[in-house]
Amino acid sequence: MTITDQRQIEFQARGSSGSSWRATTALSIALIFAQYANGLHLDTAERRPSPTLIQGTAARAESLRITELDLFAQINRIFDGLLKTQVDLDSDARRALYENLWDLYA
Amino acid sequence: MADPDLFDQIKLFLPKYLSPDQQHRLFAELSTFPENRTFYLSRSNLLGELLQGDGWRGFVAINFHSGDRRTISGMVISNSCDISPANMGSLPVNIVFAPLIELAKYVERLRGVGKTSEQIENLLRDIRRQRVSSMFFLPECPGVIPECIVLLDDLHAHPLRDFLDREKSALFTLNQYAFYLFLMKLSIHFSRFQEGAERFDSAA
Repeated sequence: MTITDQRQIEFQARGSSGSSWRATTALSIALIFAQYANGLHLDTAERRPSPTLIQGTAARAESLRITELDLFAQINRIFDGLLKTQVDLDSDARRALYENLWDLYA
Repeated sequence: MADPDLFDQIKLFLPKYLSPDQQHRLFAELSTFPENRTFYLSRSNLLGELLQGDGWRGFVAINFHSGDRRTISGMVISNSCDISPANMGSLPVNIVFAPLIELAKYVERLRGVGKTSEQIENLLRDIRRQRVSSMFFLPECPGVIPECIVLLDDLHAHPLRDFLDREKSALFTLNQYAFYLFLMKLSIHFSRFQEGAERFDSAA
């Protein structure tokens, strides 16, 4: 069994949804970030590239891979949750918001 | 089991340039959604960049019905690269933005149309948890903005050259966690694979 297979099994164990749903959501997430991967600016201190990130031993690289999995699992959890819980405003709430919307601008 | 390459493909689109400390911080922030309301970088990190998800005062909104125009505060919807002055050259570019709306003013209107306190509280809970599909919630940025919403179906365009030249001020910059939330909300609002329309020519 390869390391990738092991990581996939770990990841599946963390998921709360079925495998087909997970694969679909994973694809959706990938599609989202595919749109932004080339355009993502890392100019600010929070997003600045670290020149040391890819240096180090194999053990360190493995540790980073696990962390990436953890990040993805969280992003997947949030996206899943948002997809399943989105609601629309009811008609009164919508009318209250959009009538004279101009007056609400900050 | 899913395609063995899927995991490796997914990895390509995760943040690659974060330090281990930044990765741990991002993980901690993501893992506490939806309670986590830490959305903004500190002002020392603003650096005057014009990035997707930023809040700025200085956008000009035009009222469709009256033709009036007003300077307002708004959130950048355009992709960061598309509005980078470095990429603009001599070509005309528009910056797409969504006006900021103070949540408290919306609550006043809800009271005015007869919503009960319980109904309002339930709606506020949904808004703060990013459950309302047509809006993105912005928590208070102390000293800068109160709790606000932006409507993803109320977008305006401002010529970038004009925006760069006019008097304006940066309000906030989303941190990595909030930026990802914003991308997810944009994606869910604008991109739905299951739209329910069969886009095929009729059989002969």
